[in-house]
Amino acid sequence: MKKEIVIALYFIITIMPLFMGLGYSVLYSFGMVGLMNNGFTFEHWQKLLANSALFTTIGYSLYIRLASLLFILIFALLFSWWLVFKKNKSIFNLLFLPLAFPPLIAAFSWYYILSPAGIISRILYHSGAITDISDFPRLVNDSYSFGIIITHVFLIFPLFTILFIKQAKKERMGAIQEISFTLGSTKNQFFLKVFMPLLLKKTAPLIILYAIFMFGAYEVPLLLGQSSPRMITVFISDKMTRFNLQDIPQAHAMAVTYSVLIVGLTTLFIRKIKTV
Amino acid sequence: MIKKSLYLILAIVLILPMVVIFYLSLVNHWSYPNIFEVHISWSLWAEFFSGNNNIFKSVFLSLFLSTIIASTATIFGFLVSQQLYEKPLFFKLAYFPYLIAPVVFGAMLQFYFTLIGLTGSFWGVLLAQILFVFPYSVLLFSTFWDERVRQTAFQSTTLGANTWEVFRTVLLPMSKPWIFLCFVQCFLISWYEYGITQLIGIGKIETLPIKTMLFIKEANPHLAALSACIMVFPIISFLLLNRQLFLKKEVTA
Repeated sequence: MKKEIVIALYFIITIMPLFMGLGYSVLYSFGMVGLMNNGFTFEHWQKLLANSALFTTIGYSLYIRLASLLFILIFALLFSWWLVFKKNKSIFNLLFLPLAFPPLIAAFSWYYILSPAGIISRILYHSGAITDISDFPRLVNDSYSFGIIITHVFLIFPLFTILFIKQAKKERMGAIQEISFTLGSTKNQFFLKVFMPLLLKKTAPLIILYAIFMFGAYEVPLLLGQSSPRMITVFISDKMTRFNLQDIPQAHAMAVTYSVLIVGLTTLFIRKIKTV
Repeated sequence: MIKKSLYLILAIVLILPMVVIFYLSLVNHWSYPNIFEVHISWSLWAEFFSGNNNIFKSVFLSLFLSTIIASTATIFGFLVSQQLYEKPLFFKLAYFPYLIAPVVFGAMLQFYFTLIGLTGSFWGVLLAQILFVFPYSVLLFSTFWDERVRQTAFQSTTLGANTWEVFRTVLLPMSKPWIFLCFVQCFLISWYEYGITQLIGIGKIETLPIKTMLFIKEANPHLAALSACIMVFPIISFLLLNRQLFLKKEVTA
């Protein structure tokens, strides 16, 4: 009996709110509930599709996610390659620092590093590389979202570096390297054909999980992104909390799209994820 | 040579954000193109410690909220994971609320919070955070209940121990590292949470992240930096002492 109660409680807290929220958003997006709605309609979905907000926002979120992930993996592989074979304890310890940084504070700090009035711009001014604040390129709130990508890389690549190092040790990478060299492979061949594929394959579930997780990034694009296009999370919270009531159904339609996408992707990959 | 330069750049990249927030909290203005201001002062810090600015209030509110969340989540995670051991698929359900961005989750649930009168209240924010921290705690405890733990508990029962004795003398000592880990992790998630707190608390519940964002929006980077330092520095000190705790969090995420 106790077991059933605990499991029921688990479902009430874990799954029920998700269905309740999703259900309400579906109804709202089809005009069946909400202040300005008068009954079933496709109007809000059509609006979302007509002004191409849906595709732009999803496309932009995908771009940020893939670009960040690409750089995260490149840096993590490179530094783990160096740190596995030549230990540098002080660098290894420093890798733990960003793990204590919440996205909000990381975005705030990087704004004051990368913005035209930030540290890099000031250093360049004093070195004579630029003569005016306006000479400095836009690296925050910019159209390529450099600021967002750099902050994401700062927040997550150390974690992947640490994980790759641990995984490499687990796989006895040193011994594998010796065998490869004995068999005549070069350093580059070993990196490209053994080190990189082995680590990526072993950590694939985690990489996928992180890719899904990053879709929901909020604070970093909120501070360092442009007003258009926006990441999905910023789009939804903006439309939901602004004064224009006409926008709320579109926010719900976007929330439905996002949630279905996340639930779908998670379901697809959930079998590959070992329970913690 | 290239490797050494890259190491140096890496070290700078990892340390610089911390230096920036600390430096900004020590100056009252930072005019372009100065790299360093002449007047460095501890005035903002002194104000904080004397309780003159209301960051102090936010610290206590955040501490209170995060402690309640972390304690209840740890108890919940322990009890639920014990019952779900034979149902691994049920464990995986916990990924769904955890992977959906809290701010979107909050946006979809806002109606219900308004309906029961919890929008803009402390209890509303508490409940909202619980909805995604609790599943995380279950995920974390799922690694504890392996065959060895269950067999030990079973043997104790066979030897005559009652449920309470099994819990007190077997399960509690064995699960201590998980309890500690879960408490710290859940505390951190709540301590750093911004999106759902802002949405359900509608800015009235000024936790430390909300306060920091408020200062950023008011274009007051120095108070924002002070608030950021207070949020991050104790965690960094703790991190340096217990590196493994943070790694585990990120692995689960």
